[in-house]
Amino acid sequence: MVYSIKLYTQIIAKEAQRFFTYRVNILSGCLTALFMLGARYALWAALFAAGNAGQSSLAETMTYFVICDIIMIWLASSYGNTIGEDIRSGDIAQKLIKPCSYHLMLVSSFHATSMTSTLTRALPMFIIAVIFIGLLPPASVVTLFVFLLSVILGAVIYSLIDLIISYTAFWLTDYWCLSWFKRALFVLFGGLALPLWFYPGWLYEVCKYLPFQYTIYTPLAVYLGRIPSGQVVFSIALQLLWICILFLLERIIWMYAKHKMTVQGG
Amino acid sequence: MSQINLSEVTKDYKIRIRNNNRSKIADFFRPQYDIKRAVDNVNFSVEPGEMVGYIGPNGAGKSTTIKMLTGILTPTGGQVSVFGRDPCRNRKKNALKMGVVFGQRSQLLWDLPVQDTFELFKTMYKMEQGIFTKQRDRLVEMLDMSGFIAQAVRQLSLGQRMRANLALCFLHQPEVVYLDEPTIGLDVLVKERIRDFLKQINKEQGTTILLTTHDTQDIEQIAERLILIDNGQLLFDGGRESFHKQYQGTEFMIEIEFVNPTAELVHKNFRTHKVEGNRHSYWVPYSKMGRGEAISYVANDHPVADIKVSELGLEDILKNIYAE
Amino acid sequence: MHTFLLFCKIVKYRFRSIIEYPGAFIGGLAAQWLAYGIEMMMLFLIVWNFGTLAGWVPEEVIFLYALWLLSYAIAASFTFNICRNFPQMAINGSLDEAFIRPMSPIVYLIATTYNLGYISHIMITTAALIFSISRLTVVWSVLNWFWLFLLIITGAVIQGCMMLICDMPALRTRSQSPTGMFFWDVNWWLIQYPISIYPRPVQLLFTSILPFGFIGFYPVQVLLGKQEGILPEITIWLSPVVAVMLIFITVLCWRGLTSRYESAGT
Repeated sequence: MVYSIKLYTQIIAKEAQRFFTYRVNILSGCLTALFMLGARYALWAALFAAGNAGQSSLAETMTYFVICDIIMIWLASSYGNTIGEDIRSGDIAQKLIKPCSYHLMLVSSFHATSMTSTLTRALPMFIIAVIFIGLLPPASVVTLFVFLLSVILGAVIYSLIDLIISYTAFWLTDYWCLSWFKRALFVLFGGLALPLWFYPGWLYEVCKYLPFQYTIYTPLAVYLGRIPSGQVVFSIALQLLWICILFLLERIIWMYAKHKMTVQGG
Repeated sequence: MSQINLSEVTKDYKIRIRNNNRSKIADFFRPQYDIKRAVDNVNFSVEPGEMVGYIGPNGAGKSTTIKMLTGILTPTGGQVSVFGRDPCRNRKKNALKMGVVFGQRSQLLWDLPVQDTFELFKTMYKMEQGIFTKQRDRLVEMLDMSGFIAQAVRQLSLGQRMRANLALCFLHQPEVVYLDEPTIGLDVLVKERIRDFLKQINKEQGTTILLTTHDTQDIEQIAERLILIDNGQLLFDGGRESFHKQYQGTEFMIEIEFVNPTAELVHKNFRTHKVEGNRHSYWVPYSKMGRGEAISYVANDHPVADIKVSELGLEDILKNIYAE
Repeated sequence: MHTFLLFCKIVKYRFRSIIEYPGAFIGGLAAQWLAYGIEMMMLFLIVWNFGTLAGWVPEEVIFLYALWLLSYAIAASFTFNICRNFPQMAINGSLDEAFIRPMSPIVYLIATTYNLGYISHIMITTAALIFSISRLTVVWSVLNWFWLFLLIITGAVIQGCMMLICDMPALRTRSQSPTGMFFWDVNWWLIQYPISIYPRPVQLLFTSILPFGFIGFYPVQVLLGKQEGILPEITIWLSPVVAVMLIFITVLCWRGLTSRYESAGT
């Protein structure tokens, strides 16, 4: 455990050091974030100027998107590309025999990227949004804590789904399209491009029975008070349930994948 | 007018220097440069059909010269002309009549069979179908490529790829071909085949070949003429024989192992190096006595177990020159 | 004419290289259909919820988006790979190779790096165009069809040229150019919506130094019978002029950069 933590922090430090040697990276990350924010704000301000929908407000929608973007910086890892790359190049065999978990290495390097992105993208975006757009605060301190818990659970669900999708690289010759599929699923069912309360009824019903909305929509709905306080516990329980199901699924597929690799040599 | 002509050609590179004492902003807006002279006042000309070995240590300016000849770089000073034209201004026109191979850099379409790249080059170099077929078949035969011409390039070995690249470079029947280290990284047999090919095609089609190489065997076997460059300056330009004459010194050494212990030989042309029992060695000046003459003189008078004549090989000569 | 035939031949061989890996090709197509299909569906949903976006109905917004994406795909099929390779080109010698061919180096480079993957964008955007055109109340005269065709071409030319101009400095600096990143960010986040949702200074910028408005926003107004924008009416007809100007600027930049080209060292 101590070893794992040490490794984790070391990988993050190395990555950060590498990243900050390129000042262009910092500038471009910052600019990207601000353009995204600007475009979003202009779009939704124009929409709300024309009418109202979903019993929502501009401030609520912008709060949704800004927090969503910040969380996505931590979630938008692309296990698919990395695992796919490792399989194609054959590096995966070497990485699997290293004395530390392959998954830990993956998570560490992604969190390293997230850490740097938080500083270069999330922070400027957040500051600008607070000053110029005005974000809604959470309803209470309790809400904030429940929200944070829900975010962590959501992150676990996201990673599990991501891993499961990534493992298909073991059976495919090509892997780069996986991240496109993944993104499409989360945009459609997860509420990345549009809060679920704007969805037409039938689509909303479909989303209810899929795990995707529990990654990002549920925590945000908690934060914004869209889920009545009586049902918050139920939502968290659903998140936990999905974690169990997905974890089992992930382990089973990983077993098959490893088996396939040892039998066929990758 | 020669086919290739360089007169007083100089090429300078600007190298950005970063001065830690200056501010970053000043450095950005008014960068400071250092000038490195890669080619310094070089003169030579090449006639049609010549096979020239262009040699020198790494960083001597060989590739820079070739890039000026192909029109990729403009000289800082002096005149370059190929086919009587400035290669930079007439790049497209000259490109039709020249072929280039840059080291191991492949020009082949990676995922497709070799013959597809040939087809593409046919169009690119505006070749007529009849001439194309004839030349392609001839090249395939000379480089023994029939076994792999239909295979995807990614499946070929390095040697096969190099042969295909060479064939591609000669496909449009160029009048001049520049080869930048064509045999680098290849095994002995492939090298041998490539050398034979170059000699043959030079004889058959009269192609002028200018090649840079670090392989002394390449030079010994292909190049009739050598141009030596070091630190951007021309050190030697002439036939291979005269290169040997100029650099190998004035004497060769003859080492003899007699059957019986023998007294020191006395001959007006022999200068004793070492005498130990039945093993003797002597210096002999080229100007006074040939190698054959020296050997027969020794062997005539005494029973000889072994005899060896050593002179500086090209490798030793180059080592001496580069080390200076 | 010879150059055109040669270009087609090079592209033909590129195509044959790609279908050497049919699985990857089809997987990529499907992934992009899904991703962009969902992207457009979400955009439709967003605007549908509110009725209009700055006076544009959902079909009109989709029409604009699809035209933007279609012209982007056409442009990027020519310029995406070459732009991505600019930093490496001078180092690995592929620029040298372009200079020893009996044709224009830029044509040679564009042809040999032509990216056929964008065929998927072209298919999905064509579907979206058919959908939106069938629901728009536009009288489709011959002249209008001609203008549609012209605006796709000019949109592609404008984006392709801007991509090249912004990324070209990388040829010199040998690392990714900040202007290039700037172009990607703006084009990717801001341009798919009617630019009338942005503040006036931004609109002015997109009509002048950074002529993004001419990709779709202005010329589409001719078809939709709109007269928006901060400049005189005639602006909506100016796309072809802007495209031609950009071609000249691109050629000038390329000449300027390559005339003083210093190949990688010895």
